[in-house]
Amino acid sequence: MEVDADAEEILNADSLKCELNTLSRADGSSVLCQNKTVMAAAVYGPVEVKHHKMLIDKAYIEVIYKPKCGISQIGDRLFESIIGSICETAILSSFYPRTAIYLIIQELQDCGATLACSINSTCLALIHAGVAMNFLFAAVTCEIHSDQNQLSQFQQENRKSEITFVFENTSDRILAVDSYGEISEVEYKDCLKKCRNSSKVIFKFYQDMISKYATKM
Amino acid sequence: MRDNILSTCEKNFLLQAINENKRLDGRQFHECRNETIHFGTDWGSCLVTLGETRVLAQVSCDIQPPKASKPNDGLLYVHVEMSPMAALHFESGRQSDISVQVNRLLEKCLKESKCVDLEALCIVSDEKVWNIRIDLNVMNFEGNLASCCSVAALAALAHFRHPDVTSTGEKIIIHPASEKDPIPINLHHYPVIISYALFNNGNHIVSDPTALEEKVADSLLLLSVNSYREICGMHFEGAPLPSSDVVIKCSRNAVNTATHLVKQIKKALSDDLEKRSRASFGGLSDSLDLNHIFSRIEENLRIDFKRECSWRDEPTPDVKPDIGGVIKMESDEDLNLDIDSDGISDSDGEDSKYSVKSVNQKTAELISKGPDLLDNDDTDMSDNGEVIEVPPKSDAKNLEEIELSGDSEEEDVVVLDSSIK
Repeated sequence: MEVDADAEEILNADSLKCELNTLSRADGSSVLCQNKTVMAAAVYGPVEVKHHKMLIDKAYIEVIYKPKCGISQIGDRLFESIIGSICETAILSSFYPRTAIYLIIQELQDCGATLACSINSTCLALIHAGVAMNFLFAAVTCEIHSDQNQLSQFQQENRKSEITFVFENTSDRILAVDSYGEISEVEYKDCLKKCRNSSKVIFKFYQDMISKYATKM
Repeated sequence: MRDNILSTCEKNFLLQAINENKRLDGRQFHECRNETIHFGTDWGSCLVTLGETRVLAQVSCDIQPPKASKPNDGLLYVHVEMSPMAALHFESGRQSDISVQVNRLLEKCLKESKCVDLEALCIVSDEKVWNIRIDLNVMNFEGNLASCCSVAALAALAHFRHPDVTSTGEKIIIHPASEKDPIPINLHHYPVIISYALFNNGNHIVSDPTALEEKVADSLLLLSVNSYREICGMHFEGAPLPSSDVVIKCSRNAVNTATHLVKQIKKALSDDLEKRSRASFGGLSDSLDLNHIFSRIEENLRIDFKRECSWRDEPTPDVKPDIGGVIKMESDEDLNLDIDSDGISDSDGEDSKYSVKSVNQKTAELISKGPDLLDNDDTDMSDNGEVIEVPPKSDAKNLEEIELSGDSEEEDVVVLDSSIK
């Protein structure tokens, strides 16, 4: 996979770090570090499903997001529903009827762009668990600053708005968009273009991780 | 989903190993697993691993009115969350027996031993005090949770800093970190929980038990000990003990372990302070090991093929304590490994055609070195090891070879007395 030089404008490949197979009990697990944000994800599945949650034609998918302090708030529930709907499209759930797939995400360190980091760590955990998927997905967050149309991944004081795009790797389509603040159409298109370029960095990173991991196996 | 049921053969295997003074992961009875302590970028955030048990601790604070009975004391609240990430039978948001138990143990260890200077957390008497909350998220559950949680909670408390406050009679000003340096919590002493599993009426005492050992043990003894060699709490569960000697024996051992753990915590704290001054400080992201793809899951496997009695005679067994690997096998008249194959029966020493290599947790490879010997399907391992065939040209650099001797031609069944980590 070729990555353009300008693809690293928002996301630097050096800022990504990952460990797979960090947990002994989960079927798949990963810890992903994006800039300084660190997220852990674990996948259990396909496993036995509770009777009232069983779906006869596909797998039941549940996402649990754990903040590091306190009990989960409404924002965490929103994260769960966003990641849940992404995973429902990505996972070939009809391969596993009458089962459940549980995804648990644990926040380890919050330095901005937590949604993107948790989505990416989920994808890595799914790859590690060997769950059949339609495509891989990668999320990129960019911020628009109030003074100029500058984009970055870092959480900064003078940001006007923040937008997260989730892409899939087969035909580069958008899977999900989550935004905060005011964004004009021009800005949106600009962000989309830059984020789409940057998603290539993450897909390349996935590929590197798999090849590194597969040789070990 | 329910917890895995403990099978009888697993239980018997473990008990048999304990009777032979062996543990499934190859540790000595008094040996603890390795601990690692990493701090995050936020104050009071800490990730602790004890073997494969992993706990994330985060301390937070807010201002609340104090208890009417203690108007000058700050509040300390401990919350243990058994995340489904640790094991699927823990439901999120619901308290289970184990989480209540660990919570209570930690309260005993931290609150009732009065290690935190709560009076220093008072802002205005009878009105406003700091409420310190410790959240412990269990990320992986492989036994000795109480010990891991207590180390995590203590390290996080020692790391935490709350904002400085000035009281001007009527108003209270909370200073952000940019104005005044935040203040660390004052700790009088450092208590940690050390746990022991007892087998056979306390004749066999195992420290730092794994999840399986905890399940099989007759009774569990948890001691909370501080670095001044004082016992600040004790918890005993399971079958009663015939004598009190065991408790004394355990507490002697526990003080040494506790001193070691507290030393590790203090070392990690001073390392963290040093790292914080650097610009490239990344908190928990620094703890990621990029070159080691299998991460913390330990790849050690130690197999001791000798009879217990035979290695007592020789004080220097071939077991290398730090590396997982292959151990020379000695087969006397009591063969512990008999291989159902005609080809290897009379291979003495160097010409052995099989060697055992550790792969990762719970996996062992039995490598046949000659291409003619692939018929090891009947090989039966008494634990959950796997037998994998590997092409003959495999890299066997780190392998020691198994000495096979004796007349195993007549033998039919293979019994691998293996201890697997």
